[in-house]
Amino acid sequence: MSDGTSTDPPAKYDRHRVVAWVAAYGVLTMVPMAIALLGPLPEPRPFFVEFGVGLGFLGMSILALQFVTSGRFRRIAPVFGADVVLQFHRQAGVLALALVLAHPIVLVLTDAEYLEFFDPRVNLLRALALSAVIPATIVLIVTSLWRERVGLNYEWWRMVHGVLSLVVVFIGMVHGIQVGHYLDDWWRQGLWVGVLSGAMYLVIHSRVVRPLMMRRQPYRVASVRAETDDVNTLVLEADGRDRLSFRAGQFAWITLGDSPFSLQQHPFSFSSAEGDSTIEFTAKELGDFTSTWSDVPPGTRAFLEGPYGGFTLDRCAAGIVFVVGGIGVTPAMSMIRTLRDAGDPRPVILFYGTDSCEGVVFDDEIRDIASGHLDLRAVFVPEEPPDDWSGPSGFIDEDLLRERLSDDELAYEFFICGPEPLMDTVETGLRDLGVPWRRIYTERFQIV
Amino acid sequence: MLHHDIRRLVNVIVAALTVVVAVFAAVRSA
Repeated sequence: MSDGTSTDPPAKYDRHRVVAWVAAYGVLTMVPMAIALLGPLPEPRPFFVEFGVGLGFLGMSILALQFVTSGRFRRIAPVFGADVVLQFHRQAGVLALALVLAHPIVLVLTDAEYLEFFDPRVNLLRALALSAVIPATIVLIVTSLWRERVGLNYEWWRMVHGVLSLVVVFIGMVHGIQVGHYLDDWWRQGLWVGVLSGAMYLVIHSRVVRPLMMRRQPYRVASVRAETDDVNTLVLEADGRDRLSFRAGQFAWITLGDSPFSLQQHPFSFSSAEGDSTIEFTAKELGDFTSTWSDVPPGTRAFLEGPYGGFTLDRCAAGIVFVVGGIGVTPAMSMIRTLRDAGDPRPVILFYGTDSCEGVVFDDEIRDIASGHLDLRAVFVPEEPPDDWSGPSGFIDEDLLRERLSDDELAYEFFICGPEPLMDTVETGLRDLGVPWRRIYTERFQIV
Repeated sequence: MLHHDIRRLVNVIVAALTVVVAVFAAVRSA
């Protein structure tokens, strides 16, 4: 319970805050149209010309708002959860693409003279810029929705995404001024450039200003601990000052090496407890970055940006249920360790889906905690169990949850983290079991 | 919040904004 002086983040999924943020988003999408309608207005044009122009204004505002919902804006995450914000960002990106395409299509279909904007004989630079912005937006969306399928590694995707998003918004900003019409006055142009530049600055802030600030707060790798054959824990200590404070279940962006400007910046959930003196991250060797962890020598510099995310414990919950798969156990482990350290009396249930019974991450520690340090019931669910296995096996689904959870336990808070199929199945299953969405928290570790 | 909730939220926002653009166009073409 809050005593009024707590510095805890706001309650997750608080209805008023959710409504306030959604309303603010809606209002901000209308800012370009509002700028166009301020002051003396130009001569009216046919409905579909104005409709096409309106789509363009809307596309620009949604593109600009993508910089706010990119996951690096900390105030939103505690309200919705970082996972929800990023899912919204993905879907709004598709909407922005649709608008960027619809804007010229509606205009050209209404009046073929608008093809002139793409004619290099009329204005070479304009034709090139506008011809480039459509494929650039398509590349932005395609590489984000299907990064692995198009064979782009994460570092290059991050670079391409940052640069292309700035290029697209910049071209749109210049295009608006070149067209004029609604943006003929200097003050309208000033507002237009000011609003869009402010949005673009968020990228500069995230990619340049924040790393500069991080440079003053370096960490060192204290050790690397092998949890299993292909899972390692990176133990970091703050270099001569207090470490950042975080809430169990949150994540941070890690950069290893001497410069915080490296393209190799990846998000990982904290796996250590809130009160530990060191900070730990646990990862499976899945990509270029995590494959190097086992060889990172102690003393290596590291930089942390965060903490982020609203996948955190609620002190008012009657009990907690974690449903995790594979390495998705890490944020749950941070919360379980924190609950253990706090002597929390509430019941905790852990459904832990694994490939097999071999090499289960934190297996011994979970069994130890469950043996008396916390009211923890661990349900291991191996996909391929050994012959003598008597517990549940296969995949965690609605049937298993219904079988293993009482009605009282279905009133607990649910935290789901793991591979996409597990998350989709469990989210839908819990909904079908009558668990309201406000008590279901998710964290998808494959963000792009 | 579930993924289909987010999709529903985006759909509602899309519908509302389409109406706003149509009103903008109607006001400006009148």
